[in-house]
Amino acid sequence: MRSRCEDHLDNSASATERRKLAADLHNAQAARELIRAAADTWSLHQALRGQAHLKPRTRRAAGRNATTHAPRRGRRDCRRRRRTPLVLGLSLAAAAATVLALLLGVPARDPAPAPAEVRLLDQRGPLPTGFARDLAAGRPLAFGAGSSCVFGLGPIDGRVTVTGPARFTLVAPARLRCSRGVFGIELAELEAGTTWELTTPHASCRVLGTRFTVRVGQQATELQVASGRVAFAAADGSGAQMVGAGGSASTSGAPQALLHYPFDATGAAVLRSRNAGFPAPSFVCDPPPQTRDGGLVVTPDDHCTTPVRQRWPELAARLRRGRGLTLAARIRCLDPPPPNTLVAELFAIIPDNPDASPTPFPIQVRYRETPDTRTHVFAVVWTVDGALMLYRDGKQIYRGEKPYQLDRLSDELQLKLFMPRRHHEPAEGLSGIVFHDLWLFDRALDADELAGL
Amino acid sequence: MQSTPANDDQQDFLRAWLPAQTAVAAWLLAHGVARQDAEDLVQEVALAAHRAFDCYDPRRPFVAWVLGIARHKLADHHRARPVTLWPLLDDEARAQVDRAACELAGECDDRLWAMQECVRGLDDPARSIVHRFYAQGHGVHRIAEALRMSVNNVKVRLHRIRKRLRRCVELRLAAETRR
Repeated sequence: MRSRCEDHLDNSASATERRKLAADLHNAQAARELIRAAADTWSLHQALRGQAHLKPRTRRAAGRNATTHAPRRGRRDCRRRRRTPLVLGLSLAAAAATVLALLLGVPARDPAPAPAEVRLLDQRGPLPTGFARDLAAGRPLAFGAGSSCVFGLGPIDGRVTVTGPARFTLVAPARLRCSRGVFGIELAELEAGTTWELTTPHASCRVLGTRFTVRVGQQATELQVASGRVAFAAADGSGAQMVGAGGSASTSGAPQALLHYPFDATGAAVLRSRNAGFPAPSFVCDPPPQTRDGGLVVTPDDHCTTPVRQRWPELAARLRRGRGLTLAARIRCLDPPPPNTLVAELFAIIPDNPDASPTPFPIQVRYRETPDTRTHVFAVVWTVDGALMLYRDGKQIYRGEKPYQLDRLSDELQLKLFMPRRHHEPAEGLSGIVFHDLWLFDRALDADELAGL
Repeated sequence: MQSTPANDDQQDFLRAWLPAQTAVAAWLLAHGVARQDAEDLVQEVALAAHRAFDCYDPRRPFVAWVLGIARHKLADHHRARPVTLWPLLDDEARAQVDRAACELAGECDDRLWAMQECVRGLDDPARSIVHRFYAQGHGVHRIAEALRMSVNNVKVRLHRIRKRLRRCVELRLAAETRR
């Protein structure tokens, strides 16, 4: 039975085996086994993707047999229900999903702490109900921009200033886990052998009696030490250093590309993506590709694309996650190109509605501003609110609008390299482009991140 | 101390949703939703549950309520991309799966944590196989090719690793219960 469940969950069960499994599920024990195997599959999937998890501390108090949840609130009349704006809903769903993701890089579970002594000393703007109580109990807390608070910590002599938007948890009396916000820490000299630690998704700061500020962004963590010393390290333990008074340190959050074509190999391998965690599209070139200066040479007569009308569901699913997208290319033109030359394109279809014909959705990187033969990184960035921006070497050179819904992006995707003839554009004066890298990111990168490519 | 109804709602919802999340995901996988789709569907269920949270009666199990929402999402999903097992189940079998998911919800958080600990304990070859299979979504044929093993060998090893992990998870959960 267990093996049949596994085959089913691995999508390798035959139709006959599935029918047998369906018949078995009239039995409660068989249903339990299937659900447990599915939970294990999900847990394994999450664990292997680095989604570290911390058990919510409320459950320990609530007892182990709690299959029901009783929120503090009473039932409201559904007819009078508050219309939650979609954006708020989305952010909450994202928050629910990210509460787990926030814990990335943090040791799996802290020992059950003694309750911390927390005193709320000051606040501005709204804070969650029962803030001090929940903080002391080690529950995750979050508040928005415009709110801030100062709380004191006992028994050590310390105070923490938090400026929103912030998300954090006091996981132990001497350990604050922060995933977003600006945190000012003031601690008196600690007793010998004791430490106080602040961790973020990117770094850890072990305090040795000091005053310092930590700014936790989505990509990186910055530390500034006003007095004393702080032992600072990246979340994976690398780059450990002691930062003294007046010093600062930060982690770099280099963006991870969904697809990266380095174009630096030889033969067929040159056309493959290097770091996709799923079946990734490969380029097909006609005629066979030439390489020069460690890059791929594409001329107006060449046809270098991924297969047309090919479905890439894993890739499309990642792009539909509502974080925008970025297509970037490091290139060098063999001759100065005319302005607005098409460099690369991601082509997809957006089905507007069932009655209308699908809308072509080309996201294009274009060569602009400096018609020269030096190497540049051009990028097109499309944000979730429909802004479309073109960058050259991290500098924004164009901004427009593209009001399509990315979450309706088709599974059929195609990447194209420099095909002016096939885009009905004049090819006169175009000799060719050397492609060194092509990246596709499943979010909108900012100027600093693009400059770092 | 100030608070807003929106803040209260958010916190209530998150407190209810987080322990239920794994049960919902397991329920979707059990019905034959592909792993790569399950994550998106779980998020859709979370969003719909939050929007309808005012209609939730706190005297009833949250997991059972949220599975009702998941059922609608599964039906929608099935129209676009057929799932394998769900159409084969009659009402009685579906009810058994629902009950099993509700029962499991109480220990899902512990299970997820325990699995993470157990995966850390795997040796490198075993971790390589499960990482390729679960995190990278490679099929057994591709793994066999990459690791120069037979397909059958990969299947057997996967089975053994899962068995080992399951035993490890159960042991950790039992130890946790005794604490």
